[in-house]
Amino acid sequence: MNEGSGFRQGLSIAFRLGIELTVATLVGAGMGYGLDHLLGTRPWFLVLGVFLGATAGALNVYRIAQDFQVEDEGGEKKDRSDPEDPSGKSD
Amino acid sequence: MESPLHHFEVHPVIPIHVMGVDLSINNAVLAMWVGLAVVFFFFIVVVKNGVKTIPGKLQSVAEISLLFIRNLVDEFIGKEEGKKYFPFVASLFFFILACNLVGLIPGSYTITSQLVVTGAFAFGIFILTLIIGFAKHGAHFLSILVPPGVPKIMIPLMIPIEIISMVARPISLSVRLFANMTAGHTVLAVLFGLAMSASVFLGWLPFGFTVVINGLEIAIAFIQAYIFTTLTCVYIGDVIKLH
Amino acid sequence: MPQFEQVGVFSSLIFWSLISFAILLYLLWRYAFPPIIEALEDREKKIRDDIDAAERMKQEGQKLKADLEAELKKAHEKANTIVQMASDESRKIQERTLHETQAKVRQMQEDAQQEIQVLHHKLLGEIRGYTAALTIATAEKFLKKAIDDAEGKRMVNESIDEVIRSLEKQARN
Repeated sequence: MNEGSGFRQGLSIAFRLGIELTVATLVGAGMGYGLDHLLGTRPWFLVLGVFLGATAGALNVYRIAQDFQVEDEGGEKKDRSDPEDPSGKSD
Repeated sequence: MESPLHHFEVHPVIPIHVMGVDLSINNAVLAMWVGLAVVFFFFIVVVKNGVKTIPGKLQSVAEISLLFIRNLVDEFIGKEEGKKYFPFVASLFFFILACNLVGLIPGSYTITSQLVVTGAFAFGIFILTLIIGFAKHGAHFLSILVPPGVPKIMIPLMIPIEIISMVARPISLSVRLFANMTAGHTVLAVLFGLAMSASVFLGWLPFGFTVVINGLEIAIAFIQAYIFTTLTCVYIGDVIKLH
Repeated sequence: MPQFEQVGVFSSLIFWSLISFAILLYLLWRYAFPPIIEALEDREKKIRDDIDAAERMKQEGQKLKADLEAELKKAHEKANTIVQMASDESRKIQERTLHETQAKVRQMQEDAQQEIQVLHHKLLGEIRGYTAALTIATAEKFLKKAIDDAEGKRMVNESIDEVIRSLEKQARN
């Protein structure tokens, strides 16, 4: 089960990281653009939105990577305890 | 040779217009129904055969897939909370998987290659997470916009960042599925077009590629359905656990 | 890309996909998932129960085995004790018999010795008697001619004493 979980985790991360950054930046830019449109302050909110969006994307990627690391350490811990397992010795 | 994007076109089959809104049943909807019917009859056959303690082949497939989704739900939402959302998550998985797979049949249509469809689902899930969050935590749910351990000065900066990252979630969710499905089918269409237009003794080359890519596309269909479902679980789990 | 150009079909695509999903969700939730999930949970429960039962039986078996081993050990000890006791007993009997036999033999030896002693004394007495009588008779006949009675008796006595002394000296040696 743990092995499968690691595999699934890795799979989802591999497909997530790239798009996450781009989309967050675009969303930030879009929101800034919308605010500019409403308030007539072009292009200040657009600029701010791009920066915040990029930050948000980086933050998202950082969080995913952090989750992965925690998962990885958990897996390692399990592996380390395995040799104590009598059933593991017979293999 | 026709455009490889040609097969993404939607043709109405049974035109229906309700109050000026086009609700025609088109080839995309029909293909989706075929996929959903297969899923539904698969489960009905399993249940009608009688669910046994020692499962047959069909029942094993059904059980393994449901077990897989249940582990997903357990892992990201939680064992107790997850029970409530399991039917939704499992149905979502089978819906997307059926739509992805049915599109691989030549001449059929992949409704998940329509951004409006994936977007509608992602948006629905986004709204659902907001409802769950407010129902579970009330006004306290807004604290999801402030990550723990952030200095007070940073909060005005963090709130727009968190809002952007929350809004980005359903968009990346829908774009990912749409882009993967569209790209895969475009590649298949190009290769198939090549196979058709090439001379007979060279035609097998792109045709062989088509077969290989088709196999790859089946894997992509599963992976994308899986990722869409997993992220749905992650988002629901996030608003339930609130950090 | 037709996905972005055919704006007119968006409404029907969204409508039908959401409706179809809702129907699928309802049907699966209502008819398909409960029996299968129930079967899964039943099986999990059964497997867990079976494992528990097996574990319990294993423990019982081990306990039984330990009991039997203890019993066996006890029986062994008992048997050993019995054998020990029997051998002790037999040794005791043996010793007692030996003692008795030895005592009997000694007794018999002593009896025999005593008897020999008695016979010896008796024989000595008889020999003394005979010798005396013989000597007297001989001396009487011998001295009838030579000397008177008194002198003769004294000499006889002296000769008897000499004989007895020499006899006794022999017997002592």
